[in-house]
Amino acid sequence: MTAVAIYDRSTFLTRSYSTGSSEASKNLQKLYVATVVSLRKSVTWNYLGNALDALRETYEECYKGNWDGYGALPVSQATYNEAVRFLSALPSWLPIPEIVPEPSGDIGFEWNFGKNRVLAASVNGTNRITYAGLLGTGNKAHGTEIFDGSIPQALVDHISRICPKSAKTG
Amino acid sequence: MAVSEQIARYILSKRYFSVSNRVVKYGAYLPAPNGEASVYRISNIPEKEIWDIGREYVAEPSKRTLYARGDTTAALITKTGLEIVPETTSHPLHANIVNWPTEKHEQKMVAVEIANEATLVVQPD
Repeated sequence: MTAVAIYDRSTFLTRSYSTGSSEASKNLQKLYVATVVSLRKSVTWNYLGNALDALRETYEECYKGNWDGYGALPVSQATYNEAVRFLSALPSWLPIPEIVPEPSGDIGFEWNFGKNRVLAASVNGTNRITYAGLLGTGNKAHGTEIFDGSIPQALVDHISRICPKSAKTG
Repeated sequence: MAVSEQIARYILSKRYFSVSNRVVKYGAYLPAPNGEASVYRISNIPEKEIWDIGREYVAEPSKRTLYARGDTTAALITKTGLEIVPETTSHPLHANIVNWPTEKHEQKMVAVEIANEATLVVQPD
């Protein structure tokens, strides 16, 4: 049997991992939960929450092989977990991408702002990001970056370059 | 194969196109783990027959739903350095896109370029 742990939007970020019993620890915990509840009410959280929902649905569709009808490899739990971290690490002012599973089992993210303004990046549970993009007519970029929990600056720069100002969320 | 030929990639995943933006997403054009992307040559084929081929030879064998297809010319695919090789075992119009670069980011770049120019055609109800 395969055990599957899936992100639950209702408890994401508010689960308590604190074992502290002091008054200060309890106060800190209350402050943390209140901050997260406040964050959830923001527009940014709603965008992120919708993307995390789409990510969970994608994982549920793709964790078994051949989900595309052409022999695609399954998306692993490690890849899904890394995709959650990737989405959660995006700067709040960047538009939320669409989720695009890949035949290799990677989970991809696509920012598509129209013809010749597209960037695709993917993770596969190995702390590496693979990306490729069209950055305006005649310009393109592709490569790999290490994912250490924060979005690499090169990726942020590429997305910013093709993103219309009106699409930025903050 | 003539560069003017129309090439269809059948899409069996809802994640590979956007009806509202009228776009095919790059994932639709990435190669399968065997290093090939399966396509059909559809020049001068009536629309109904194009969809019949997709349903009978692509969707039904894998027990999937056929949602849409991405149409391009052979020229668009070959100018990226890829090749389209007829492979007619299953159907006389079937072909594979081969000669993909080995690096994953290079494959992604090519898939993004093709999807950027592809035309989305959604299966009629």
